[in-house]
Amino acid sequence: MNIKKILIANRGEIAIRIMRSARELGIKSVAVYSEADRASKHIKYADEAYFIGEAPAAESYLNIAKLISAAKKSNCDAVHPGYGFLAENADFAESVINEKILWIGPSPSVVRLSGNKIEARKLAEQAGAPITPGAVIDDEKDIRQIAEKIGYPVLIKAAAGGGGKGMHIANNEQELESALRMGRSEAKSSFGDDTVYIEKLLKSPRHIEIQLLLDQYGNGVYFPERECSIQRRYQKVIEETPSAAISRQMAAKLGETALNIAKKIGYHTAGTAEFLVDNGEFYFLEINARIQVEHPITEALTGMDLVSKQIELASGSMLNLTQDEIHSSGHAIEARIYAEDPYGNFAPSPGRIDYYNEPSMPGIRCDSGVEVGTVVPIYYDPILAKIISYAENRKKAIARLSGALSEYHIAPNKTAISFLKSIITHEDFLKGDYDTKFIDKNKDVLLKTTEDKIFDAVAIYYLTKHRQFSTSIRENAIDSCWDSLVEWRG
Amino acid sequence: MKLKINDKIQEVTAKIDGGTIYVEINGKKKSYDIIDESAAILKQKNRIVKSDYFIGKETMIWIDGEEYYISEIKKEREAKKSKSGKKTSIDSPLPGVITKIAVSPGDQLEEGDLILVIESMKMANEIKAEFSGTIKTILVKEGDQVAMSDKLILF
Repeated sequence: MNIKKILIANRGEIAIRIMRSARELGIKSVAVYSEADRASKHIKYADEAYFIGEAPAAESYLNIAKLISAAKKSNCDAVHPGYGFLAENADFAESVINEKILWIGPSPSVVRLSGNKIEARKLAEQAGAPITPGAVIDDEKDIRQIAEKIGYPVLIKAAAGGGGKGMHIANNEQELESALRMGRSEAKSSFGDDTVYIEKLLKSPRHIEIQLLLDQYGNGVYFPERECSIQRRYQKVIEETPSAAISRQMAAKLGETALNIAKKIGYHTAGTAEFLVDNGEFYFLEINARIQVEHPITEALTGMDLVSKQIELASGSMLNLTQDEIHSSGHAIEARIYAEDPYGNFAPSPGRIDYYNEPSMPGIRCDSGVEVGTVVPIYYDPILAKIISYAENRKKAIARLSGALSEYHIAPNKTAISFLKSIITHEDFLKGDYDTKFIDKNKDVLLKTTEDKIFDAVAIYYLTKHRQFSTSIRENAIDSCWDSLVEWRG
Repeated sequence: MKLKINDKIQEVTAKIDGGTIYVEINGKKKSYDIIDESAAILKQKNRIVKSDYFIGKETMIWIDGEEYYISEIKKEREAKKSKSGKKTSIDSPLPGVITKIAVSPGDQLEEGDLILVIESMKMANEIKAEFSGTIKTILVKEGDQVAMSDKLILF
C-alpha cells in the first residue's frame, strides 16, 4: 500500500519525530491538538492540523471518536499512534481499521494480546521464556491473598499500561491499599482502564529490552539490547545500548527469546520485549506494542530509522533484512528531560518555558517537543525532550552526553538535567555497576552541590541582582516598557 | 541576606565594591573581579567564572553543568510566618487537578492521614496531613484545577 498522508494521534516530541520520518518518506503529516496545545511545536511540523477537544486527555488525545472524526476529515490513509495515549489501545486500532485507514502497529488482536498481561505471559511461557510470579487482580478482595502468596515487596501495575504509569510498590500489607488506589487512579487517567496487575518485585533487577522488527510474512530481526535500569518512580530516565552488564551470549538469548514470542503471537511492525535480568537469570516482562521513547539509541547504534521501517512494515512491505545484516558498532546513551523538580520529589513543573537553550554538537541528537513560549500543560506526560549521544565506545558516549547536558538550559520550569548529569558521571554508573534501585540508593549524592560552585552561583546571583537594581532605575527614567524583573540572556 | 539555594536555606553576605564582588558563606570568604558586568563574567583569582542565567521568580544559574535555583528570603515574610505560629492551612505543593478528596469538614486528622489526591502530568500525588488538627473548611472540590501554593484546606 502506498501511504500519502498520516495522521499522528499524539503530541510533543514523538509527534514531531514521526513527522520527520513521514517527510523523508514523502508522506504528508496531520497533527491533532487539544485546547492546551493550540500553539504547540508539533503543530508547526505538520502539513495539516485538526483541533480535537478540551485539554484533559480523555476529551482529546484519548478520545477515539474525536480522533477518528479528525482522521476522516483529513482524508488520511494511515494513523500513527506514537507512544502513550492510545498507542496500545486495541479498540482504537480497530476503529481506525474499520474506517479503511491503515493502523501503524500490529493488528488489534495482537495489541489486545500484548496488552493483556495474563495472556501475554501464558504465551511467553509456551515460547520457553521464564516469567516473574504475579497475577491480574480481578477481585480486590483477593489482592491480600495473592500478595501473601507471591511474597512482599510487590508491585502494582496498570494492566493496560507501560511507561511506568500506574506503577506503585507495596512493601507490606499496610501499603497495599494505597498502592492499589493510586495504581488504579493513574491507570484510569492514563489508559482509560483501571485494571491493575500485581507482580513480585525483584531485589536488584536490571531492566533490559529488545527492539524487534517483523513483517507480515513471518520474517523478523532483533536488535542489540537496550539497558533501561536507571529509573525513578518506575519511569526510565537514562537508557543505553548495548548493556554494560550482560554477556553477548545472554544478549543473543534475550534477542532470540523476544523474537520467538513475537512470532508466536503474530506480531508485525516495530515492537519491544521487556525483560528483567537478576543474578544471571532473566524474566520476560511484557511486549510493548508501540514505538518506544528510547528507540533513538538503537537508531544511533545501527544507523537505521525505526519509525520509517515501522511505517513501511505496516503498509505491507517485506522486511528484507536478515539477522546478519543488523550491524552495530559503538555505544549510544539517552537522557530524558522531564519538567520536574529534582528537589521536590520530582513533582511536575508545568508552565510557560521562557528560556530554552538546546545543545548541538557532533554525535548529539536532541528530540524535543518544546521551544521558548511553549506552555507545558498539567494534563499530559511531563516529557519535554530526550537527548541522545553516540560515540565509538561507552566512555566517550557518556562524556559526550555529559557535555551536552551541561549546555542544556531550560527555565523557569525545573528539570532534572543536572541530576541526570550526576547520574551518568557517578562512579558506579561509569563502571556499569547499577540496577533499577540506583537513583533511590544514591539520591542524596546525586543532588549534592559543590561548595566552590555555590560561591560562584552566589557571586553571579548578587551581580545580577545588583545589575537589575541599577537597570531598573535607568529604565524607569526612560520609561521603558521592559519588565526589569524578567530578563534573560545566554 | 538569607538565600534559598536549591533546597537549602543559607545565610550569605555579599557586597560589591568598585569592580569586585565579595562573598562570605559560613565564615569562608571569596572575592570575584567583575570582567564583564552585563555578560556576568567574573574572575576569582585566575579562574574565569562564567554562567548562563535566568531571572524569574527564582534566579536560575548554570555553573559548569550544575543548576542552582536561588531566591532571597525577605525578612518581613519570615517574621509574618513565625508570628502566626502554627500552620492553619494545607497548600497545594504542585499545580494539578484534584481527583479525590478523602476528608470532610469536621474530620479530626492525624499527621500522615490522606487528605486528597492531586493529579498532575499523569501522576497521582497523595497529599497527606503534615500536622494533626480538625478540618474547618475545604476550599476545593473534585475536578478543580489548582495552582501551586493555592490554599486547599483550612484548619
